Amino acid sequence: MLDLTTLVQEDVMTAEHGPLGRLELLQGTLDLIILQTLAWGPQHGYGLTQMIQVRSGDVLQVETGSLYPALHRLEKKKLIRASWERSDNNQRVRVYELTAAGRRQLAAVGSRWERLSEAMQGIMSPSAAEEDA
Amino acid sequence: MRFRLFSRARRDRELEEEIRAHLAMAVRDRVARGEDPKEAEHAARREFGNETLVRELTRRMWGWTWLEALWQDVRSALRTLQREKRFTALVVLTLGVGVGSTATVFGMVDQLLLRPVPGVADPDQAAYVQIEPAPGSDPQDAPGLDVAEFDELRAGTSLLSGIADYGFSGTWQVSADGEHPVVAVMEDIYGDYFGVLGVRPSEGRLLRADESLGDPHVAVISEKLRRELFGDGGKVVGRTIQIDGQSVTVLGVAGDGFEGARRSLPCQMWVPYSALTLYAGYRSVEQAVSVPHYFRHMVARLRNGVRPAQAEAQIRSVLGGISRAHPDDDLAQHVTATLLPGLRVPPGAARRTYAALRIFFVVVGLVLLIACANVATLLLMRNVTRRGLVATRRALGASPGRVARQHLMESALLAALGAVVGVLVAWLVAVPLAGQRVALRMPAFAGFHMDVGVLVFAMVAAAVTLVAFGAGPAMLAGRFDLAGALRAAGGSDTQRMAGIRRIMSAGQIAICITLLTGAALLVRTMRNLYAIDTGMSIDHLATVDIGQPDHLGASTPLPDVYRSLTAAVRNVPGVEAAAMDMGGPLAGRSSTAIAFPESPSRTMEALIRPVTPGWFDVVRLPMVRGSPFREGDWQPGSTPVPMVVTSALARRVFRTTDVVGRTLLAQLSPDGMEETRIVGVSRDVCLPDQPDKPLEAFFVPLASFPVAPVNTLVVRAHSFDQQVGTGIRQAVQRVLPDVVPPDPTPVTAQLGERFTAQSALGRLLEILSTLALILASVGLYSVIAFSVAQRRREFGIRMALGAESNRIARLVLGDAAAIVTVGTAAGILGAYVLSILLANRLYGVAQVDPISYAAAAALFALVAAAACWMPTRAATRVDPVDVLREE
Repeated sequence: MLDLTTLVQEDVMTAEHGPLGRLELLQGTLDLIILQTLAWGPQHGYGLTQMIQVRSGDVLQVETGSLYPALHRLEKKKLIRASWERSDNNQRVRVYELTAAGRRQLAAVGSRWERLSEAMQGIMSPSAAEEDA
Repeated sequence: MRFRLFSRARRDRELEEEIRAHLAMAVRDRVARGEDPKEAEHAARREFGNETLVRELTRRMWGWTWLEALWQDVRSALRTLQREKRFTALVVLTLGVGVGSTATVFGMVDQLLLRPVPGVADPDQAAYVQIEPAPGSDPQDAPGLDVAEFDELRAGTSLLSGIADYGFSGTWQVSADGEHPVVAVMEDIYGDYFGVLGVRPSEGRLLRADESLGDPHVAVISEKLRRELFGDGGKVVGRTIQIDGQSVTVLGVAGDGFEGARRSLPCQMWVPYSALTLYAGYRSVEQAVSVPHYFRHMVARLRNGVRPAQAEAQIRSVLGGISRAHPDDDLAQHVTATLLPGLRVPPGAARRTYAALRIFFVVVGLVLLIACANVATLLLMRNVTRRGLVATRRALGASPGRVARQHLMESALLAALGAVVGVLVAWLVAVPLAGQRVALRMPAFAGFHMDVGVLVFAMVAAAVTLVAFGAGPAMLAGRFDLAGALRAAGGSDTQRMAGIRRIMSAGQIAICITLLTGAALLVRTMRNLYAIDTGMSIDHLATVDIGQPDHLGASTPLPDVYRSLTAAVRNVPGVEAAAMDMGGPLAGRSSTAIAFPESPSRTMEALIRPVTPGWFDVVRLPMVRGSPFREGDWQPGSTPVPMVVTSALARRVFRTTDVVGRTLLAQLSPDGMEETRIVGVSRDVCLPDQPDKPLEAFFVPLASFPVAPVNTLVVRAHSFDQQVGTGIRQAVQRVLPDVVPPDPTPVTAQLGERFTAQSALGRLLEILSTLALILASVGLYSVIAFSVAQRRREFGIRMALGAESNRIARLVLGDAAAIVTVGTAAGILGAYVLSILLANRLYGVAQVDPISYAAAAALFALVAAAACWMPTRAATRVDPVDVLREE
């Protein structure tokens, strides 16, 4: 069995914006999203918010109040590492990239997430279809 | 630590830059999408949210290591303590005095009572056997056993695996190379002393039972003496050392730090009983053996499973048998024996030490109690003044746990600072105590001795006080009734508690006055004692003990040896005059028998002072009648022996001082009485410790008293510097090449030694009264300051209603005066009781000595005034507006 609590908590469903609006993410989920996003290449904080928004089709809005603590937490756990670099328009930015440990973590948690997501799909899809109708 | 903090500051800057970069990029994107730059900036900030909060949340992720959290608490506590300097200083001082003095005295007790005698195997099976006067018999019939009786006792005590005797046989100059003498205590032993105690040799072997009456020229030495004589290396067994000019072979070294069975006087060398022929003036072992009633202190070892009571009963019954077997020997009728198992409580005179220790124990226990009470009062006061602060902290969102942690950290810091001061105080107390140990018959302190366990105990007591009265109430104050605490920061204390604190403070003052008065009495006694007229002129006099070299008088007649010695010393540049006696001008405890020629069997006791001709001039003892004996007046072997008597002896024996020309019999040697003729009557001579009792003594030529255990040079010189000392030594060695004389000791210094009991007691009382003075003034201060802190509101209102600051000051001082008056009255009562206890140590000072009492009270009044000054000033400076605003 999957341990649901590590990934989704009850609060996630109380998001103000409703199922089709922007979702607020909880820690475990956010960590997974950050790790997955960084898996596509090193990125700075602002770039991450943009990418997550775009990739989730404007559904997921990451609050900076959650993003930066999460980034620093993951850095402390040595799942990602940071370095100062110059951006395209010569702005000094702090760029994050996955570490080897981060990659392993992503693989482990990511597969669990997929199984959870399949399971959720199975449970949720009939009603979701009704709502669409 | 520092590095981490730097890195923290750097990370703070980096985070700020990261956020700025984020905002800049967001604005640039928006502008690129066609938004107005100003509008874009606002939108970006809005979208970003609360920047401070984001920073704070992120910073939290870095995590505090526990060390960093601790460091933060320590810094915060240090800042608080620094702000409240006076409070901190008082608490630390009080704790230091309490913890330090307790640790020292407990350490002493531990060393004296609880620790086993070093070097003794299985001390629980060992015991002291003490021969004492039987109940109802005169202690003057000093009981003891002779060698034959002791052998009977040893044979008859089947419950003991062994019993052996030991006796103090003097303090001697010992030298390994003839040049650097060290002073060591000697014990003569009879029986299997080392076997009974289970002492193991660390080198060579120890004395056996069958050697007790054998070769006298052997000794066992302690490890300490071995180090002093030979250093740490080399071989010492079989080497020859000089003890008082005697050549003695070292048999071995007693191991495991053994320094004798008794704690009261550590011993460094042991000789067989037969060696008394060398050191106590006996001419033969047979004579030493026949001396009756010598043995008094013994050690024994119980057989397995034997209870001390059984063994004691057996010893007593054997002693009873001995008495019955010798009905003619009346001294044997008067003894009984006590068994003191475990070698814990030493026999004899040292019991007084334990009485003194018990008093210390009580006084120091009181000191710790007072210290804790004072700290409690100080903390309660601080908590009252701080209640507003705690409430404010809580209102600003500090959790109760956080507030409690801060208080605990402060308490811990105070305790640590108190410990540092405590160690200092312990050292300050231990050093003078160690200096007085001989006078108090206490064993040597191994340098600065302080028990770590005891220190921890005292620290825990202090820490409990701190938490119970400091952090605890503060936590409660933080938890309950925020609004109430904010509103009435003055708070109110129950009347009962205030009363208890006043009584405690008065009690402290009473103890302080008592000790101060005692110290004053002894200081005045010391001054009187130093001013005593001994009858002689002892300024500019010094003594040099040269012992009793065994060949002295062997080839040259004694008077000639003495004459050449004094002549040689007199020729030393700087020396004015020289003579010889036995032990120096202030000695004089040797007594012998005298009788009228008409009735030689009716003997009387008199003190004997053997001196060389010329001695009277050197010490400037004038004659009342006749003249002193002179060089050539007498030759060894001839009678009558010329004699000078003191006026006191003449008055006692003849009821008159007009006695020149009268004859007396005097026992000058163990062989019998000799005829003497009185040639002069001297002025009275007093010893400093008994200024009202002139000595009943007579003087005879030194050469007529061959058993003198020590020959002493008495030298008069303007000063005794290094040069004079060396000159005297060389002069002595020209005449007696084997002798290693010590440096000259000024007689006035010996005067001080004679007052050791008074000066040691005085010194201790000085120390304790100083501690009590500090504590009592802190106590008074804290009580007064506490009541001022509590009555702030009252004072404010009074002032608002027109009371002048004089009036306020009078209110506060009246309060203090009441406490001081009660305390002083009780203290004077206590001082009276103390002076009764000290009565036999006082001289020239009335028991109710108004000067001492007044001095103590005045000193305390001065300190009390200082203690009250601050709180009074604080009270008169209360700003009514401030107080009313706090409402």
